[in-house]
Amino acid sequence: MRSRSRVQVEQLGEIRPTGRGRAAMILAVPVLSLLIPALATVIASAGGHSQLTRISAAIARFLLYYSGVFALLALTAAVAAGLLASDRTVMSPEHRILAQALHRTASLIGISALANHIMLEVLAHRARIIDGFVPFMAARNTFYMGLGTLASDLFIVIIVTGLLRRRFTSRRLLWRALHATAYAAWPLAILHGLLAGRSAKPYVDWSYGGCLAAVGLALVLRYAMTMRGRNAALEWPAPAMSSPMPANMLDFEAAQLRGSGLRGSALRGSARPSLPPLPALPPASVLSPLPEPRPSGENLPPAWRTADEYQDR
Amino acid sequence: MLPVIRVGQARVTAGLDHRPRLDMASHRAVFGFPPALPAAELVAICEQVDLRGRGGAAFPVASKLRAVLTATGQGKRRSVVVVNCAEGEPGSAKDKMLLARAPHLVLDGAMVAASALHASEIVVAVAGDGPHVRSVTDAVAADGALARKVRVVSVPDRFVSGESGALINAINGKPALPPGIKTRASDRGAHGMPTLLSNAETFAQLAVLAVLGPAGYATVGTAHEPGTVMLTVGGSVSRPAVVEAPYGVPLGHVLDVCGAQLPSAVLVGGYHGMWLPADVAYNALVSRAGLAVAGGTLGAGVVLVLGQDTCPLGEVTRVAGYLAMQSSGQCGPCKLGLPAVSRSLEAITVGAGGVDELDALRRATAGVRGRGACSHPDGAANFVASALDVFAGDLTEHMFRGTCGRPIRGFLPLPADSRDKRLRVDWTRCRGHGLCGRLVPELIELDEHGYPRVHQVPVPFWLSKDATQAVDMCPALALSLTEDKVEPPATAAVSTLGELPSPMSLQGRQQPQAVLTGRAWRRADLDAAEAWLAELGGRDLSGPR
Repeated sequence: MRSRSRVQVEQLGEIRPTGRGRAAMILAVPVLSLLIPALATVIASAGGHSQLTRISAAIARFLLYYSGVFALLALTAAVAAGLLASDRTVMSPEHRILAQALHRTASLIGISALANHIMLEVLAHRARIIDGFVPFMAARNTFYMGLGTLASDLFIVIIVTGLLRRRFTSRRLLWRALHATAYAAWPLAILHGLLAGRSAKPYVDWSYGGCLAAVGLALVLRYAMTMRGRNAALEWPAPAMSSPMPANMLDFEAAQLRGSGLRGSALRGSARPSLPPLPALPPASVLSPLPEPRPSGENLPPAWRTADEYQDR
Repeated sequence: MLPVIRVGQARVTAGLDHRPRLDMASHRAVFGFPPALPAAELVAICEQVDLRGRGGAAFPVASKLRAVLTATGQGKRRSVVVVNCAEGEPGSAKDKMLLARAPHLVLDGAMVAASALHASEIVVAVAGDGPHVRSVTDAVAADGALARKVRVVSVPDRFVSGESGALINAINGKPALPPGIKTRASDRGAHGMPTLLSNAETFAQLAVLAVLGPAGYATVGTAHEPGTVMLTVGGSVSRPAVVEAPYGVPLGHVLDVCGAQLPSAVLVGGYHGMWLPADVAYNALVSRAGLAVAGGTLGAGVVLVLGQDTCPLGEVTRVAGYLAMQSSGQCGPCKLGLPAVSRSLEAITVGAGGVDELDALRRATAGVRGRGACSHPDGAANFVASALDVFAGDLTEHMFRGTCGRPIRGFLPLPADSRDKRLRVDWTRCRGHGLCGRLVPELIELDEHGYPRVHQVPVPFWLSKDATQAVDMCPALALSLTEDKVEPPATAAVSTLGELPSPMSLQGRQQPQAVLTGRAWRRADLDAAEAWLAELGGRDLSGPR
């Protein structure tokens, strides 16, 4: 009785469910895409002539020039892949899973590039922090800058609700409405890309136009397909109520009604010849009532007698 | 905690009729002090009474002791003794009962082995939480010598946690999963040291053997299998209990004692065991040899009785689904094969499967045998194969008539965790896109129209990622993972049977014969059967939906 202290029970052998690091992995992409250019900008602005400074400056300059383009390209790919993933006519389920994976990956890359783009513009003093989130506040080029901010806000909402999609199973229509704003945000982003910054080269204009036309066409096709799918039930050969009833049906009904003194609606007004009478059924007889159970005696049927033998006591 | 019933002489349950739990003083009053035996003598007495491991594999304890002695150079190097009380088998309660009510007996046995082997540590591995954990920690804390030597560890309460390799993994700080490469615990076990690992009942029996000596130990039991055995009897019996019985007692006697009523079949050896038809079960003898002759297995002593008023295939399907999800998801043939077995069974049970489904079922069952890191696929295959054998009549009825007309009452115990999640379909939204069937084929099968047939089992940890992805990718937002339960608790059904009027319980062997021949019915039984049917009439008899 020396130690009455409780013995500790160690919890060992814990098994973790799969897919637990998903949120961390998803967050890691935008965080890294923010950290790397921020670091490059800070190192480049610190000055000096080392190799590191020159490389950092090059990275910062490249990303300042192109991260907006990357965001637009990735989000374009996301919109297109999302459209593709919803198709049932050409795509097999396996391909639709791939398209959805592409849709998600492209969205993640797009939102990372977008964050990168906004941060670098702010660091380069071409925009203020407020311009990244509140539209139509920019000092110059207010309208087209505002379009970009609006598109960015919408994309953030879409992607956050997209990540939380499984919470929306009971509010499906709300989710669909929120997600469909992508079709509004994406053209805004294209307009912003074409008109807010440097003047684009003609091939860029043409390819943007091509993208718009392609997605527009896909959208129309999707709508048409959805409508067709929804109306598919109506295209089945429905039982036409106005057509005359099949002959055997009439026969059946006639047989049912014959002798009952009633005339069915199906028979009324029909020019069918009168049918031969059916053979009469044998008359149903009332079964003889069960005999009264006798208390005991020799007249019991043998089955009862055996049961009696087995009775207790 | 289940009641304890004893048939014949008291051994490991001695003293339990006077005390709910034997504390140190009452334990010593009943058993005294076990003698300190040198290793050679311990091996000799274990060999004399052929003491076997009581966890299911029935490996000779003498061989285990000898292997550890060899690996440690006759006790010159350090070793570990592991008491396995992680009984993952849902139908088994004997080890938990021993730890809860006679913890010092188990610890005595472990100490006898540890001092003979000069082991440096004793690890008591328990699963879950409950009176048995509190009891064993109190028992360890009550004795300074024990408190210095014994560690109590808790492992996840899963079916395969009790597998020796999984347990060793857990003790070594890894997930409690069976290892891919087999190493004998006696060579390299806990902390890489030679380890004597056996089940809690084995150590209790070892303590009894040390106290009584081989001659005293062998006064009960059969010539080849002396001593007593602990059984856990459950299912549709009116008195589910942990039973201590001498080897060689007729199983029918044990079933009568526990109040089995009109069984259709009896499962011996737990969910890795075999089904026996009622007449065979009643005439079988409780011993490894006796049950092997009857076509069963003793395993860890789990005996589950199945009444006639439940759909046997439905019961088997529930357990098969549980076993499939208890796979640890490491080995392909097991993690894909067992769900396939379970899905086919489910299809036949609900009347959606024909001869082709039975064919697929047999093929899938045979296909998992011997193809995993542990014996889980083999055990599950044995269970299903013997069910197909014993319930052949019900199988035919289900295949050709869709149902046997009886409800699934849930007599076979399954653990229920409130955190378990299941996949659910909102049928008004589902448009049969079919993505889910590709993402989690283990849980979702597509029917001939392309709509999902969801396997109604809790999503196991190794499928949680795939299941979540299927929910995320459902184009119609029709799939969800929810926590609510569909199955009624199994205990309710058992207690209903317990309330049946008393004439139903016949004495001795008359009972199965009455069922089988249909002749020996007495008037009292007919009355009881009518009352029973009247009671059932108020319930849904339309069979599983």
